[in-house]
Amino acid sequence: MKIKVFFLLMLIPLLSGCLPTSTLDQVLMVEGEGFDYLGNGKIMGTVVIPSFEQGASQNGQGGGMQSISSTIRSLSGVTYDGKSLADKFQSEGQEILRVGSMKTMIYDKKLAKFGLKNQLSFRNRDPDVPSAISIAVVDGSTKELLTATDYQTKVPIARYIQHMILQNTQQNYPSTNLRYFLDSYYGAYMDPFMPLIKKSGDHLEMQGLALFRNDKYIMSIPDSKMFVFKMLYEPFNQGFYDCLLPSGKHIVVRNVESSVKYKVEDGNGVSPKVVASLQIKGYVRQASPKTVSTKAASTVSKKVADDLKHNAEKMVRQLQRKGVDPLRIGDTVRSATRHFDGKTWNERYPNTNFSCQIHVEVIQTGISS
Amino acid sequence: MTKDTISKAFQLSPISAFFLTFSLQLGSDFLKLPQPLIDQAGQDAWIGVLISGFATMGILWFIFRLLDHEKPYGRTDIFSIHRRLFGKKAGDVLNFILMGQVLLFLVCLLCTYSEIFQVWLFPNLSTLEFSIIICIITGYVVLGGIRNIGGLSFLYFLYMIPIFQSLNFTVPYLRFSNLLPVFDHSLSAIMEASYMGAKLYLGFELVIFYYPFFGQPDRARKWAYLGVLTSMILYLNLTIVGTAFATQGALTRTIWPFMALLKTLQIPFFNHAEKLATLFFVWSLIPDVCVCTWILTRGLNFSFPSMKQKYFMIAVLILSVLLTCSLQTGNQIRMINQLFGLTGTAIVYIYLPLLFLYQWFHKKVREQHEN
Amino acid sequence: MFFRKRKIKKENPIQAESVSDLWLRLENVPDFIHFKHKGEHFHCWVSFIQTLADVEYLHRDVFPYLYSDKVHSLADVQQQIPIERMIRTKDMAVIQAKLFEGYTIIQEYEREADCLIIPSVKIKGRQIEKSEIETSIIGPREAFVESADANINLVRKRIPIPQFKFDELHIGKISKTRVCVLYIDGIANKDNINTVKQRIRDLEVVSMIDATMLALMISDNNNSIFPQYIDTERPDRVAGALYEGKISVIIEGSPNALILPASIIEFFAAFDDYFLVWPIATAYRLLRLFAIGFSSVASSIYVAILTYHYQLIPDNLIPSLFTSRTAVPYAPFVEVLVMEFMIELLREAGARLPTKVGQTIGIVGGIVIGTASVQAGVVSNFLLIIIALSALSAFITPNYRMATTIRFIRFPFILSAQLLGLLGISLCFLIFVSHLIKLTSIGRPYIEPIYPTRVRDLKDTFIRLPLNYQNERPLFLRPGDSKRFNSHRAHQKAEVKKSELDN
Repeated sequence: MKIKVFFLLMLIPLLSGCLPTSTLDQVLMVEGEGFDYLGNGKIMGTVVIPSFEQGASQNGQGGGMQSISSTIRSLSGVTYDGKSLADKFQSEGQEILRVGSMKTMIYDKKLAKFGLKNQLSFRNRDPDVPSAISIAVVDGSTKELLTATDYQTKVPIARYIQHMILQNTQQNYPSTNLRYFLDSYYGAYMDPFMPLIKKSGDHLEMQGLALFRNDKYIMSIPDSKMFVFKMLYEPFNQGFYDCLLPSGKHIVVRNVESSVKYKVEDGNGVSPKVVASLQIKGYVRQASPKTVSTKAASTVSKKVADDLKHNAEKMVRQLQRKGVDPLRIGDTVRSATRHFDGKTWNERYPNTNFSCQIHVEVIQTGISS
Repeated sequence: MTKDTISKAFQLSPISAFFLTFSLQLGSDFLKLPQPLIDQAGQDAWIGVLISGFATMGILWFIFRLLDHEKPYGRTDIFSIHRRLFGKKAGDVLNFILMGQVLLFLVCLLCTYSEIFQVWLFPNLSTLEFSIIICIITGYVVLGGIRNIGGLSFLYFLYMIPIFQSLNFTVPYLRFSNLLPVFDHSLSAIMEASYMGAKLYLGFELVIFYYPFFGQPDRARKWAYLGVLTSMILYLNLTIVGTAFATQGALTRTIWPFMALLKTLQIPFFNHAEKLATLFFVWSLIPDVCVCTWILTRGLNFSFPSMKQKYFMIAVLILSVLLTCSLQTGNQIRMINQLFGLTGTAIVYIYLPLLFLYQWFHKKVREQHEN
Repeated sequence: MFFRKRKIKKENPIQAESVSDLWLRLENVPDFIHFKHKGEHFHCWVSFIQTLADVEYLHRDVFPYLYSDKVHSLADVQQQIPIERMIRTKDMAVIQAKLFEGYTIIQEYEREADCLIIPSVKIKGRQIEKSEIETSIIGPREAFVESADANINLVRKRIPIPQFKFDELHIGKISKTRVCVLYIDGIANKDNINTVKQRIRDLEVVSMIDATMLALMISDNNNSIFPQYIDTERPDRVAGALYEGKISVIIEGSPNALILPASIIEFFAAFDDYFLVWPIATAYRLLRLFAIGFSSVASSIYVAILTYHYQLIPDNLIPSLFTSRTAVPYAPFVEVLVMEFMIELLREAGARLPTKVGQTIGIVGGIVIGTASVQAGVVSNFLLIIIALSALSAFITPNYRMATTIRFIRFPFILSAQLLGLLGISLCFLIFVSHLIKLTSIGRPYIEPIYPTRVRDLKDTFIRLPLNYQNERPLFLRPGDSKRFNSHRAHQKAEVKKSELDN
C-alpha cells in the first residue's frame, strides 16, 4: 500500500507542467497569411491576426481592466520561400503565434508564376492547420490587400476573404480549398486551380479562376465563364448563367440541377475522344422583354444550350492549347481506360477530341409572363 | 497442474469473442488504410483487402480446429498445446517466442498511439509519461481479469461507432471515378496487396491464448468469425472511401489517411473534428494493451507457476514502458511495425498451420502406438 | 496493544447478569418504574420504562386483571390477560432487550429471574407524510417514517400475497437494531438474499442509526464513489423493486429503505418515468443522461479547450469567448476551480439552512455573486453559463447520492484536463469506466445492461419501452421466476383495436 502511494506521488511531478499551454487569450491566432514574391527566392510575408473589441453595451457597468484585444493586427517582413510565417514573426509577437485557426492563404501573381511548391509542401505537413483553408491568387499585392484599413466591413480580413470565396463556391465557382488544391496537385493527369481575387476600392471581388500547371500559374478564366467551367467540373445547383443571345439580348438562367457525364473512346489512342453530356435544369431569372414566353420555353432552352456548348468547347480548346487540365479530363480518360498509357498523356492531351452535348430544360419562366 | 476448465466466474460470454477479435484486429491499422495497399494495387486496393479478409477467416477456422483438437488432452490454449506436444523445455521456448510476438504487438501499439497523440494533440507529450499512464490503467483493468477486458473492448466498439459513422459524411467529397477502372492491376500486384492487407488483420490470432475462457466455445467461434467479417467490411469501407476521397498521388503522401478524412469534416460546436476523434483512440488502445498484458502475465505464470501473477504483470508493464521509450522516432516506429507485420504473418500463415499438421501427426502416431 | 487491552478490561459488560443486577443498574434511571403490586390475592413486581411503554394502555387493559380474584400466580395472569405474544422466560438477554423495547415485566418475586413479559409498546412517531426528497409530480405520495412496522405495513399493503416475506435480524453490539430483509419468495434470487443476510450478520458494529449507514457497510467496494444500492423513502418504489425480484432492507428508526442490488442506470431513472407515456418517458430519460454527461465534463472541457486546444473553438465563438476571457487575469483552471468552489459552497449552505433561508441564499449566490464576479473580472461570463448549467444538470439526477457523486467526479476531470488537456479527460473517463466495469453490487455487475450486454434488459434503461413489452424481469438479478406475465396475452389485449379504416 505504501509503495503504491509512493508511486502515485512519484507520478505527480511527472505530470505537472510538462505540456506548454496555449491559452486562448494568450495566443495570437494567425488567421491569414499573404505571400508576395520579391525575386531571388525572397518573399514578403504578411500575417493577419484578428482583433476583437468588446462592444460598449456588453461591458456597461464593468469594473476591472478595460478589455483591449490583441494590439497587433498584422505583421510583415522579408523571408525566404517556404518559411512558416508564424515562426518567422514569433520574435515580433506580443504572445505566441499559432496557426491552428487559419482561414486564408493568399499568394500574389508573381509568386504563383514562380511556383508554390515550397509553400504547399510545408503546409501539407502541418497537422495543426485545418484542411479547409481558402487559398487564392491575388491580382496585386497581398500585403496591401491584407493590411488595408479602408474596407467597408469590420469583419477581420481573413474571414472576409474566406466567406467571400465560400459563398461563391456555392454558386458559380467550383469548390476550392487547400485540400482540393493539394489533391489535384499531387494527383496524376490533372492540374490544380484556385480563385483569383482582387481588391477594388473599398471591397474585394472575385476575378475568376487561376489555373496552374503543377505548381505554376499559367492562365486565368474570367468570372463570366465560371458557370461553364463549373458545369464541366462537378454537378451543382444554384449557379446562374448570363446568356447573351445573338440579338444582343440577355437571358439569365439559374440552374436547379446540373449533372455531367463523361464518355471516353479510344483512351490510349493518339487523339482520345471525350464527350461530356450535360443535363441542366433551371428557371429563367431575368430576361429582356419579349425573349421569353411560356409557349416558347423550348426555344429558349435550345438557345441557351447552344451558347453553353459553344463556350464550353471553346474553353476546353483553350485549356488544351495551354496544356493545363483543371477539369481532370486526363483522370477521366484514365478511369475509363484499361491499362491507361500515362506516360504519353501529356503529348496526347492537346490532341484530345473534346465535344459536349448539352440538354437544357427550362422548368419555369417566372411568375409573370 | 492446472485445472482443465475455467471457473464460471472468469468465463467470457460468447459475444465477447466478437468484440475482442474486432478490437484486436483494428489495433492502429484503421488509421492507415488504404495507404499500405496503394503502392501495390492502386485503385484496386479494396480487392486486396477482400482477399486477405477471407484468408484471415480461413486461418481462423484452422486455429479453431487446432484448439478444438486439444480438448481431450487438457486446456485448449497454445501454452498447453506446446507443452503437450513438445515437452516442458521445448514447449516453454516456443511459448516464449509467441509471447515475444505479443510483446512486440504491445510495444507497437503503445508506440504508434503515442506518436499519434504527439502529432495530432500534443507535440510535447512525452512517450514515457503517456505510456506510464496507460500502463497504470492497464494494470488496474488486468487485475480485474479478462471479463473486464472484454467489457472494455465492448465499450470500444460502442464508442467507435460514431467515429466510423462519420465516414458517411464524407460522401459529398468522394469521387468514385478514382476507383475506376476495376481490376486494372495484374494478379501478382493484387496478391502483393493482399499480403500487405493480411498484416492489417493481425491480432485475431491472439484467440489461441484466451480461447479456453469462453464458456460456450461453439457460439464464441461464430462470434469470432463475425468479428473478422465486421472488421473486413470496415476495412473495405475505409479503403473504398479513402481511395475515392483523394487522388493516388495525394494518398501516397499521407501517413494517416483516416485523419485526413476526418480533418475535412465539419461538425457542429467544434472545429478540427480530427482532434476530437483522437480522443476516442484511447479506447482502441486500452483493450488491446490489456489483452496483451494479460496474455504475457498468464504466459509467465504458466512457465513459473510459483510466483504471484501480480508481480509478473508489473514486470511486463515496466518492460513495455522501457521498450516503448527506447523507440522514439517515426522511422523506428515504422520499422517495428513492419517487423511485427512480418513475424505476425509468419506465425499465423506458416507456423500455426504447421502446428496443426504436427498435432494431427502426433495423434496418428499415438493411435498407432496404442494399437 | 497495551492500551487496547486496558480499555477492554474497563468496559462494563452490557448484559446484566441477573435480574437484581438489572434493577440495580436502573436505580438511577428516572423514567424506570419499578413497584410492588399488592393485590388481595396476588402480590407481584411490575417494572417498565415510562417513556417507552404505553402507560394508559397498561392501566386500562393490564393492571385491572392483576386485581382479579382468579389470579393467584403468574401463570394465572398469563391466562387471564387477553393479550397475544406474552412471553414467560428466565433468559436475562430477552428480559433486558424487551424492557428497552417498551414491554412491561411482571415478576412474582423481585430477585427471581422468572418473568412474564407483556407487550405494551407505545407507538409514537411521525404520521405518514408526503415524500419530500424523492418527489414526483404524478403517482403516490406516501413516504416512509421512522417506524419499521409502519414501513413494512406500507409495503405490505402493496404486495398482498403470502409469498411476501421478511427476515428479522438484530445488529449492533449495543443497539441491537432491528433489521428487516424484505423479499418476495419465488421471485427474488436465493443467493442474493443469502448474501445480504450474511453480510448484515457479519457486521461488527456498536450501533446502527440509519439504513444508509448499513448500506455503506455492506456495499461491495467501500472505496468506490459510486453508490452500490438505492436508498428510497417511497414505499411504491420498494414495492416495485420487490416485484422485480430485488431485495429491500428496512431498519427500525430509519425513514429510508435500501434496494439491492442496484445497477447504475437505475439511479438515473426517476419514478415518474413509469407514469408517463413511453416516448415522453424515454425522452426525459435521455435528457437526464445527457445532463449527467454534460454536468460531469462541461467545465473540464472548458479548461482543456481554453488551455490547450484553442483550435477547436468554432470561428463564430472566438470573438465573444476571447473578449470575455481577456479581462480575466487567471488561468482557466483557476477560474473554473473558483467557480466550482463557489457553487459547492452555495449548495452546502443551502442544504444546511432552513428551506426558506436556503432559497434566499441560492438567489443571493446565483445573482449577486455570479454577476459581481463577472463584472469584477474574476471569471468570464461564458464560464458562468457553463458552471450554472452544469450545476443545474447535476441536480437533475433523481437520486441524491448519485447527484453527489456526479458533482464530485467533476474535480478529477478538471484536474486531468489541466494536466493533459482533452487527452486527460479521455484518460480520466477511461479510468472511471474501467472502475465501473469492475464494480459489483452484491456480486451482480454494476453496469449490467451495458456490460455484460443484455439486450433484454435494455428495454428499461436508456429508453423505456411500453410496459406490455417488459414482460421479463431484469436478467442481472437472476430472478427465481423471470417471467412477469404472459407477453402473448398482454399483446393480444393491447391490440384489440383494429387498424382498418373506419372499422
